[in-house]
Amino acid sequence: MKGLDLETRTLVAQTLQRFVTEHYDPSARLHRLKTPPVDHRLHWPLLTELGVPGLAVSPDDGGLGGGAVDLAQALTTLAPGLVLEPVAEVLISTTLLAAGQSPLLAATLAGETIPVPVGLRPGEVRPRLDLAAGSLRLSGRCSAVAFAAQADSWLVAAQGAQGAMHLLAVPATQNHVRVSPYRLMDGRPAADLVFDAGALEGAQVVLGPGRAESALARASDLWLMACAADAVGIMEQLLNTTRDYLRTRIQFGVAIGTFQALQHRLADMQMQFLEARALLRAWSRALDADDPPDQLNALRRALPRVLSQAGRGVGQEAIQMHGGMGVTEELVVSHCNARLRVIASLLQAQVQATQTTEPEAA
Amino acid sequence: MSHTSPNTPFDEPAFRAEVREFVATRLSPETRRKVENGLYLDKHDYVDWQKALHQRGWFGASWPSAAGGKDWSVRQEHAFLQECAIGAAPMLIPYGVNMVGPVLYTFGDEEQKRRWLPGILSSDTWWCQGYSEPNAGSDLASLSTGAVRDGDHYVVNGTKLWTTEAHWADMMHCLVRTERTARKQQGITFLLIDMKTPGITVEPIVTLDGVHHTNQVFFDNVRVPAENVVGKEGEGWNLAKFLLSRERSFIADTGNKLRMMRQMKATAASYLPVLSVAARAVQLDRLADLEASLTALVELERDYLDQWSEGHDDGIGASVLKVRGSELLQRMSEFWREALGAHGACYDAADRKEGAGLGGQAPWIQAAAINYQYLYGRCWSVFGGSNEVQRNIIAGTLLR
Repeated sequence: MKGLDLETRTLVAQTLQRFVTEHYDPSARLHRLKTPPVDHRLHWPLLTELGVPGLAVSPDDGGLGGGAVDLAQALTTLAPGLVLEPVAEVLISTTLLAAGQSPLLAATLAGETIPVPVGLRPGEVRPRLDLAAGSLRLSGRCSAVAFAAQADSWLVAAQGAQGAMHLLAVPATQNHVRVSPYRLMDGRPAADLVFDAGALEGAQVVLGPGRAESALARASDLWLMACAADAVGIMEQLLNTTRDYLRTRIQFGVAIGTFQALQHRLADMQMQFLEARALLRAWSRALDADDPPDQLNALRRALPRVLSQAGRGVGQEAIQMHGGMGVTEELVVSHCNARLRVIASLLQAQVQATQTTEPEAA
Repeated sequence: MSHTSPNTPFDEPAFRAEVREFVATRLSPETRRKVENGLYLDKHDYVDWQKALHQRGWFGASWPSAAGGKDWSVRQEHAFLQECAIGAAPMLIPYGVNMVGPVLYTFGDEEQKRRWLPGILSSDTWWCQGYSEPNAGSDLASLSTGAVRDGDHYVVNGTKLWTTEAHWADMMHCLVRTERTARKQQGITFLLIDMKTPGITVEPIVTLDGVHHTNQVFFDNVRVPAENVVGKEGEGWNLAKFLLSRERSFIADTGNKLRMMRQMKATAASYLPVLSVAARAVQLDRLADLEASLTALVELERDYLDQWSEGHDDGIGASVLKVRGSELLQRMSEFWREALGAHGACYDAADRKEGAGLGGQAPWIQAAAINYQYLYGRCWSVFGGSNEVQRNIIAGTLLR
């Protein structure tokens, strides 16, 4: 059994709950988003102080020693805040840096520098690495890299000769990388990165062939878990909000929750949420327990699909049930749906990757 | 009184292996062949299997030891049922072992327990369930089949509908109205009726699959001994609610769906090569979707078992599992028949009585087994409390 003891886990959850309440009031968040440039490090010092960057790093390496179950709980707790700092990105980066015993780890845990992973999402094409002539050269494109233009460094999953995986730490100021930044639907930033095969300045190999493979596989599983935790936390929030609205919104002289047409759709939302939550629980438990590969594969294939569909069902129905209020920018409901749509888009490559497995004839 | 499950510990992987081994060696090869190939099962297929389980001490094992069980926890019962179904064992007929048995050991008097429990455990008595009526389906409490006290007997008049396997049954556990009251849940009595009593007529109802599973049962001045009332007269509704709450741990029926997924993928695999590239991509995507949904259902079921074992109950688990389970079964069977292309149109119920079934080479023979799943699958969202009623329960609980 890996992870935090019950007391620490409860403490982390309570602390993060308070963080959301105090710093992520929906109207304050909206104001922040409407006043560019958006500071995506605004609450980073506080999150660092709370130990968030090292949640999944072992105490020997300066972290809290949480397992996947702990990460899932932390991210589910943060989810209703729709936070604008790169929490999941840094959490996953620190596990990679710890695996490579990189000197960047200590600075990241101290909040002095922010690395984000690049090319980590399952099903994505990874940049090619050329190690010739004593320099590190990457070529290829990475799409929709969250916080790429805001980070201090990129942890790039790259494919070397004969497909050998490497993990590089690349300082984010480079002549040979074209950065095209943009805004995602949920207000978070991302960018496309194009590597032009030029020698990268200050780049280092964090993990070489052999070790990189397993560390990246683990990190990409954790990334899937982070998406699931975020989505599940948001869906739970939407269900609470929608339930309250159905109870209190009066039309035709009665609460609209008395209409069976809406009741049955609420039931469908709840069932989709419960399935997604059950899969998240199973997945995080499986990652901590090192379950047999069959079981992990079934969950790995199921999660992206179920999350995308459940997120669509819950998010869009929550808007519809809130009627006119649901389509305003003011109400948090549409922002929750936007985040769920972003998660689904980022999972799409993985959904498509699961289509190609042909069943075997008996 | 609601159903409580003991927390008897067990070593799940070892126990599952033991069950697998038992199913592999003790299930009759003929019955296994029928289940594997989607063929019609006769009464003796069910009874023989239940008797084999009884011999092993695994029939009614979730009953308390005082009643002849083994105090299995809900998790152990679930693991057992899942492994049996994956191994192509027939389903356990619930009317005795899961329904009237627990009612008897919980509410029955000593004489009733002594008289009826052994026959349930040995499967020598086949029970059926007399609940629904022509005007009491989803609205069960509106039932009107009447029982009037006459000396040391009740005289029963009326009719029960959708009485599954009544034509195989020795006994019926029945809800009858002994009093007309303002609140329709009152005045209902839980009565045990011997199916050989004069005045009982069982009329077959053939369902949309062309098979005789169910019946309408008519009662014409049927005299039932008063000692066959379980609990107190007029308090049958509480017993009925208790009985229905026991179904939740296997209502999702994941073991059967896991086996069906295996069979369905084998069918799909043999027809995929003849499809165009585009059509194949569509089929593979649908298949991946169904597999994802089944994985989600399995985890949802496990999540509820965990919660129930820890004493948590959100009050909607049985409804959620029933809706998700039945709707997935229907989606799977729709995919399955469509995998046959034009031959998905074929269906002759007679082809399920004998022949090769799914193992046959001819697509129209396979289609009989597959379209049976499709057709009978339409029943699942209707019976056991229609999915609309289940959604009412879910929303009603959430909005309370």
